[in-house]
Amino acid sequence: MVLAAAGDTWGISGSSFIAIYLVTALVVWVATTRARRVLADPRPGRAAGDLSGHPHDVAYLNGGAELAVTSALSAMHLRGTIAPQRGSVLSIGRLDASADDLERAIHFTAGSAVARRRLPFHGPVTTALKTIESRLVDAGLLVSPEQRSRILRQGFWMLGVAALGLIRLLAGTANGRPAGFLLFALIGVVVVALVQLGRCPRRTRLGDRTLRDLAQQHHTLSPTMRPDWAVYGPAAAALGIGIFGVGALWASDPAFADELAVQKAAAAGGGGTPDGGGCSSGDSGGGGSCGGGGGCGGGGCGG
Amino acid sequence: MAELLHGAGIGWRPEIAGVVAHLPALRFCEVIAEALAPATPPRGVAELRERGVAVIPHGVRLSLGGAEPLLAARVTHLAACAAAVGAPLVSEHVSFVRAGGREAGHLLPLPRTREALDVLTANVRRTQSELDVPLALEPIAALFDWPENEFTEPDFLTELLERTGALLLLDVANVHANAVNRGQDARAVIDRMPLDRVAYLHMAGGAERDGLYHDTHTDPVPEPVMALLRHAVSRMPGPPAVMLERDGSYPPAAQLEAEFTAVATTAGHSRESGPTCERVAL
Repeated sequence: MVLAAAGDTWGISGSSFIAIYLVTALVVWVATTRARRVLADPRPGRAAGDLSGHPHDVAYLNGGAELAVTSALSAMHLRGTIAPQRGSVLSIGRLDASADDLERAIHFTAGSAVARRRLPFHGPVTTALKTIESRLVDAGLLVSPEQRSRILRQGFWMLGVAALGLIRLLAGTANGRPAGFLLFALIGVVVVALVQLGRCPRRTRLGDRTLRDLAQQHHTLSPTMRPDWAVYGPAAAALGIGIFGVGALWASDPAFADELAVQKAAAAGGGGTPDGGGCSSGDSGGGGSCGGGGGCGGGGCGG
Repeated sequence: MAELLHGAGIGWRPEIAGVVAHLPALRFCEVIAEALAPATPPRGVAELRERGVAVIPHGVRLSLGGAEPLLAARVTHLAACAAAVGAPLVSEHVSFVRAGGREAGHLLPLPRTREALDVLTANVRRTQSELDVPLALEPIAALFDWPENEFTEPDFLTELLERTGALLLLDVANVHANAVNRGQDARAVIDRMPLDRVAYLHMAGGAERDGLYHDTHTDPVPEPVMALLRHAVSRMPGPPAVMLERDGSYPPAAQLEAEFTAVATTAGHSRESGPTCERVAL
């Protein structure tokens, strides 16, 4: 194979350069992807801690501030400490000892009606949410700001590969050489670099594992089961929302979801947790193995 | 007759699966057959099965008393459910749910005539021929009786069970409901029932409205039904298998557990009589 001939840019033929360039880009891509994964998993192999006693933390881990507030409101609604009012909430009654910091902050803030969507931006609620966030970061479940910047910085390697390609492209073009293949390769490398520089997971891999484990452990709270929250109680209801997203709210308390003006569209995505439900064969409707339990309805069962 | 079931059970419903899984001394559960996909039983049911809790498919749509031929697919489904969950027996109702091609959506009472008994016998035999396990039949609660009845309910059932060899699923709450609504003495009805054929008992809640007792399955089990259970148990050689049915308006878990335990102890079962189960904190 002829590596160089007279007139080749930098003394390397176009076809050799593109081959070397593609291999380099691929190696850097694989290496940085691995590095990003390692950085997002600072404690590999560590078992997920038990978060089930902190349902609003689970909700924050899964869907951020908004889902944490929704989970807290649902528990408070079942305990009779808030009342919904067309997208807003109003504190009622007295909190009992089971209320945590987030519920206390919401109860305090909603002394006069507050729009649900505005709740996270009110001082006490913001503080409570920040506390949850730092607790999850400390537990290695959410990516810390330092981790985040380290993960994003991995994108500079691909950016370097892009720069090399660009210089060669310019030099080759100045040399009057065709550079079509290189241009395509360069565009690909730039796209990868931009994605790596701009996107970072919220959760660590431990965080993902924790949510997955919780979904397995508490599969009976999955929205596909339509769990009856009167039976399970407020803490389990909040945990169901935390693990499975707002779909759990729509499944078990659609009237309250409607009052809160929680997006149904979001319910479908629901924070994207694995569905640990006990239902079978992609049966998302009412039928199949999960369909309505009792064989009776109306005024009398008779069975 | 060898006992197929022991101890206390509950109607498994997806809405309460997490609470059912943690009931103390749970020995069996019943799953609505029409809500069960034999190829993929719900995970909660499969987990109970693995723990040694017996699972009984409970059919509600066979229409055993219907004058029209049984729907073959429904019989096959019931048999497949039994095989899928390794059921020791299955159960269905002494009723019809379909006529003239229409589904009633309710269990409707049969006229207790010789003609109806013949039809019922044929349908039960047809069902039994496809089942690998015994079939238990449950008399229903009805708000009315047909005028042309030729048998009392206990006599009708005794005859049916003798002809078919089927077992009895005696719903104590249904006996109470029918006795109240017919102005009969429930204890006397129990005494005349073929108690030697009992596979297990049902217990459920209900409520009186406008002078009629409705078997709602959404109310707590009232004291007269508990008292009737005590009476039925006193007429049987040993503590019978007994099951709580609840189909809606569920109470908090602790209350449901208390009601389950009350039914179990009333039937003579102690809390310790079940297979051990790990209690997982929610």
